[in-house]
Amino acid sequence: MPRTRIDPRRAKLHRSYTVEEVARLFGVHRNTARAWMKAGLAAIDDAKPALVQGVTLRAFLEARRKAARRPCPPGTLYCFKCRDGRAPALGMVDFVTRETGAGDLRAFCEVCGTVMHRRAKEAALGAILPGMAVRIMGGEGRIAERPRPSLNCAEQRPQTP
Amino acid sequence: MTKHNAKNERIKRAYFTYLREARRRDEASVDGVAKALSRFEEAAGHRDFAAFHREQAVAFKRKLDA
Repeated sequence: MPRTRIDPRRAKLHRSYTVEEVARLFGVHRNTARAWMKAGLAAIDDAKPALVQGVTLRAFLEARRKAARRPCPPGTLYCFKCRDGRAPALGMVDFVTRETGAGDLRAFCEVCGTVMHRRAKEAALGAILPGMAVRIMGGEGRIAERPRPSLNCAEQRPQTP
Repeated sequence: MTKHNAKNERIKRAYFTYLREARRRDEASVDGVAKALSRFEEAAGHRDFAAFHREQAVAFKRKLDA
């Protein structure tokens, strides 16, 4: 069963793993495990079957995950379509407040026009979007028959012709 | 890269398979053995298991008591 997200902590520190065991452990293909070894995952020696120490495996996958992180610089929200931090189009940002003090930032991507979202505290808006006019919109009232789930924006997406 | 002894790793691996398959030990029990063995290896300076001497075991015991 393939996993979409690999948890490096599944590798046990004091155990060693063959390529097949690595593949089974993380639910990836054997070729993926071999590709990791080509990409720098060190085997314990040159003998066959190739063995990888659990501690090495975990460190390798953690380093990869850390390298894949893409923190948004100030003034940007993450655009899932561009897969990068993008500034809001025309500097227009909405902030929908919720009861807890946190709320949802919502803006259009300046490049592709996709709706971008970010959960934020109202107090942190200045740090996230410095010098940008954020339109603060009231959230829904407390007494609602059915609360709308946060960030559910399926019907607000711009229609593609 | 952590320090290790490749020959020891393969011996340990065969032993863990034996514990799991022949002795029917639970995975958690094998994990405990693996941890203990790696503590011993570290204390013995990752020396080859083939070069085992009883003094290594005595020194390890002393380290555990300290």
